[in-house]
Order: sequence, then C-alpha cells, then structure tokens
Amino acid sequence: MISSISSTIIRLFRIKKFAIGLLILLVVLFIGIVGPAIYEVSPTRTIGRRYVPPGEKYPLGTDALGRDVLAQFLHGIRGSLYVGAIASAISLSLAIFLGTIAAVFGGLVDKIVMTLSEILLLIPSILLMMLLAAYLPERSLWIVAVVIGITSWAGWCRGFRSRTLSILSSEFINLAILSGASRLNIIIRDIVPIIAPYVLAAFAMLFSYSIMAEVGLTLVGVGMTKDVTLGLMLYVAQIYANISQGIWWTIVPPSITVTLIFLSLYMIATSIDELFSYR
Amino acid sequence: MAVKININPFIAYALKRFGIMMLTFSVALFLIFILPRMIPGNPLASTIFRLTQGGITSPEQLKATERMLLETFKLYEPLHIQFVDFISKLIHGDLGTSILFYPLSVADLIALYLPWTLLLMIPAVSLSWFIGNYIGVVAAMNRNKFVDKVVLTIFMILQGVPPYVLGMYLILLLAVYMPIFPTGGGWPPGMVPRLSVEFVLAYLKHYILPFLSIFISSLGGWGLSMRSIAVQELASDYMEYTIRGVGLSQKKVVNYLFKCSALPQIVGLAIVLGWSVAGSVLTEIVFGYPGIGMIFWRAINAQDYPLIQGIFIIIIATLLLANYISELLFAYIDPRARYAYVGVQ
Repeated sequence: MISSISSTIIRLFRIKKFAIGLLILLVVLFIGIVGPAIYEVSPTRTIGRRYVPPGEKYPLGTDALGRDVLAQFLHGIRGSLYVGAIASAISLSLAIFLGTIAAVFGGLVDKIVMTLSEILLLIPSILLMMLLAAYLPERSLWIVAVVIGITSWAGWCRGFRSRTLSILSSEFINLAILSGASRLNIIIRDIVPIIAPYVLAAFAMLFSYSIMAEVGLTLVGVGMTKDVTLGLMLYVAQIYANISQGIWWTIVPPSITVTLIFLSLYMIATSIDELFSYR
Repeated sequence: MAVKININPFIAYALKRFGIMMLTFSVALFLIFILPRMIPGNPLASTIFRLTQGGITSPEQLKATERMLLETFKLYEPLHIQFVDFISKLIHGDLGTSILFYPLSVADLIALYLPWTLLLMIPAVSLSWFIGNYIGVVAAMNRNKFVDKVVLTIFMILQGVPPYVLGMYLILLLAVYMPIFPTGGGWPPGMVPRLSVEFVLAYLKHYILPFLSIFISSLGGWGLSMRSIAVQELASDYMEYTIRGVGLSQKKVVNYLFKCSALPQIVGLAIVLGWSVAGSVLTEIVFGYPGIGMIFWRAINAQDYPLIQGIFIIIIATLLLANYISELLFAYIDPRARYAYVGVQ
C-alpha cells in the first residue's frame, strides 16, 4: 500500500511537466506567504510621488496613487492565493458532496442535482458572478471568493457523480462488501485511492480558475474593492490608463504572475490526469 | 393495448433540449429579477442617494432619474406584481431606459453597440478556429517530433494568457514603445462612423490590436483539443490504411485528417461564437473598444442598473441559443447523442 503510493509519486515526479509546474507553484506560494512578512511596506499607504519608475528606493516603483508597487505585488499574490484557496475549497466541497449524494441516493435527489448542475453549466459562472457581485456594494476578499466558489462547482460535480457511480458498480466493491469489510474500511482502502488523484486534479484546476476569475471580475469592476489582489492591481492600472502611458511596472508583474500560476496548476493537473487515466 | 407512438428521435431530443433551455432561461431571468431586490442595503436606494450626493446637480434631473429607476424596477409594488410587470415588459422587448445615457433606451443602446462587438469577435474567433485547428493537425502528424513539442509548449502558454492580458502587452509593445497602432478606442476622437474609405481605414487601424489579442489567445485551446482528437483519429485503422497503404502525400493527409477531426470542433465553434458577447467584455475594456463590453463596464461603474440588467438578459439569451444550436448540430452529426438521451426504440 505505502510502497505503491510512493512509487506512484516517484513516477509523477519523473514527468517533467509535473516537476516544472510544481516548482513554479512552490516559488509563487513562497513569495506570497513569506514576501509580505519580509518586505514590511504597507501596500495601501501613499509613500511617495506617483509613477516613480523602479529604482533603489522603490524596487518596483510606485503606482497611480503613490503606493509601493512591490508591496502591492507581494500582498496581491497573497490575496489572490487566498481567493483561489477559499473559492476552490468551497466549490470542490460542493462538487464532491453533491456529486456523491446524487450517485449514492439516485432517484429524485439525483434528478434535482443533475438539473441544477445543468442549469449552472448553461449559465456561465463568470456571468453569475458578475450578477451577484454587481449588486453587492462592498466586496472583500471573502465575498468575492464565496461568489466564485458557489458558482463554479457544476462541471466537477458531474465528474464526481460518474466516478462514484462507476466505483459503486464495480466488482471489487461488491467483493469487499461480501468479505465483510466495514464501510469505513471500504471508503478508506478502496474508494479514496481511486478518487484522490481526481480530487487533486480538480483542486488544481479550480484553484487556477478561481484566481483567473477574480482577476476578470475585478477588472470588469465587480470584483475586489477592499483587499489587495493581483486583479485589483490590474484594475487600478487600467482605471488610470497606465498601459497607454507606458507604465509597465504596474502591469507586467501581476499579469505574468497570474499566467504563471495558471500554467503551473494546469501542468500539475494534466500530468496527474495523464498518469492515472492510462492505468 | 399499448399504443406505440413513433417519434423521430431527433425531434424528441430537440424538444427535450428546448425544454431545458427554457427552464434555464427562466431561472436566469428569476435570478436577474430577484438579486437586486434581495440584497440587503437596497442598491437602488443607495444609487439614488449617491446621485443626490454628486454627479447630478439639478433637482429636475434627479427627480427624472429617480422616477425612471422606480418606473423600471417598480419597487413600491408587491414582489409578485413586480415580477409579472418585469416579464410582460420583457416580452414586449422593453428593457427600460438607461440612467447613464439618458434618454436612450437600453434596447437602442444594445442595438447601437452590439454590431461593433460582433464585428470584432466573429472574424477573430472564426479565423483562430481555422488556423488553430490546422496547426493542431500538423502537430498531431508530427507527434513527439520537434515541431510538435514547440507547438505544444507555445499553445500551452497561450492557454494561460487571457486575451485581455495579451492585449495589454500588445498595447505596450506596438502602441507605446513602437507607436505603430493607436492605444485604444474604435476610431479617432471626433470622427463619426460612416461608410467612407477614410473612416474604414482609421477603424481598421484601431481594430488590428484587439483582433490580434483575441485571435492569438484563442489559438491555444483549439490547437490543443484538435491535436488530441487528431492523434486518436490517426491511430484508427482507416487512417493507417490511407497513410501506409494508399501512400497519399503529407499535405493531402493533413487536409483529410482536418476534415475528419473537425466535426466535434464545429460544435465548439458554435458555443464559442455564442460566448463572444460575454467573452469580449474584458478585451473591449482594455482597448476601450466601443462595443457591448465597453458600455457594460461603464454601466457597472455608474451603477446603471437598467442597462446592466438588459445586457445580462441579452448575453444569456445569445449564449443559451448558441448552445442549443450546437447541441442540435451535434445530435444531427452524431446519432449516438440523441439516442443516449431518448433511448433506442
């Protein structure tokens, strides 16, 4: 059992794509967690003239309101990671819970969950988010994350439903029940190892999706209003027309980081998927 | 005696999917209706309050705005009467009057700005569909060779770069550092849209960067999905026969493979075209391109609720319709889809 898990992990690390993705993700995580603690400049206080280019005093310059861009960047990464973690935790739990009970109970419960997810799939979640967020006057990190979380579970819910159905109907579960194994035992020894990689891939995809969604929402003007995230940095840069003035230091760092986070999680998710779907 | 009714499975499928679509549209309308009325703090009241604080100074204009907001949302009536009113207005195509662009109606505004969005999105999405898929097939033909690896890496990176971010880079590069193109807008300020050579040329100059950003950033998705479809297709017996047995030239095989694998992608194209209104919002904002996305952004910043609501309804309606058409298309092409739904008789 243990040795099979460790050999699987070794095989996963042999995939170059996975190793690179994980490395990028760990670097971003490290910057987001440790960065704000080391670089102790407030991201929201005006500290100097506006639009000072990157230099010795301000490593990444200042923005339209004379705030330190490096401090904004570090706190922004942290904020975006928070949004990603909260939102993906919410939508993943909803997806697993609803998908599993739909498969286990069947009948009316299944019908309701399936119709609900079908409707949610047809109405794009980004629009639902905009609709929800447009009518909320003040939007903190938590509100935006919850809005993203409760609108993006539908696709994965269907995935978990069909996985659970195929597990429930497979021979080895019947055998385990016949051999007198307890329910808890069956769940831990038979179901979790099968579903775990899928959960991991789902989490990675939802995480990157949520971070992208926050940037999109905020850029439209229905996202973050209070806390610093990568989306808010781009929003402020957009509002003050930094791009057409050639003020690159407020735009390039957050946008590259968003892309890097997306790519790293995408690489991780697809490697997990490739490794486990060919068995 | 059981009466067996023979319905064409395609029609049965079409009807069922139509039912789902209408149900979804009703849910969406209900959400659009209920959300602004349920959220604590009453955003409408706070909008009126905000208007009294600044922006609108003359009392007559404030009165007019207040009256209009109340007329659109009818907040003094009980909820169920409000809902009936909302639906009956919608059936008559009355989406209310915009606050920001007073006295223009929401329907007129959408009719005015939608063509510009479609003019941007339809060519960009279609062209990138064609070229992305073609490159995908070529990559599949050269699987695991150098070309394939390069294409795969580039397409994967493109997938992680949303069109609006790409747009920001294009502006920085081609409009600021090398001032070849204008930084934004749809045409030079002061110019009025009309069908003259001068205007069309000026418009095209503003058009190229937003077009490129949508075109390039959607290449990746098409290319990657096409590559995996084509790889499966290549492994099939008849392709083996065509390549090894008949000995067609590389170019002919690529063309043939493209046609074989394009079917599922056509369905995808229908969905993405339906998405185009929603998908162009951010790109339009970055470029200041005068389409639906741009007025949506201005509506949100000005809390112009009638306009926000109207644009939501339009976007959701086009999306659902496009999705429905793509489902029918798919069922028409692939009989398994419709049998899976109604069951084989």
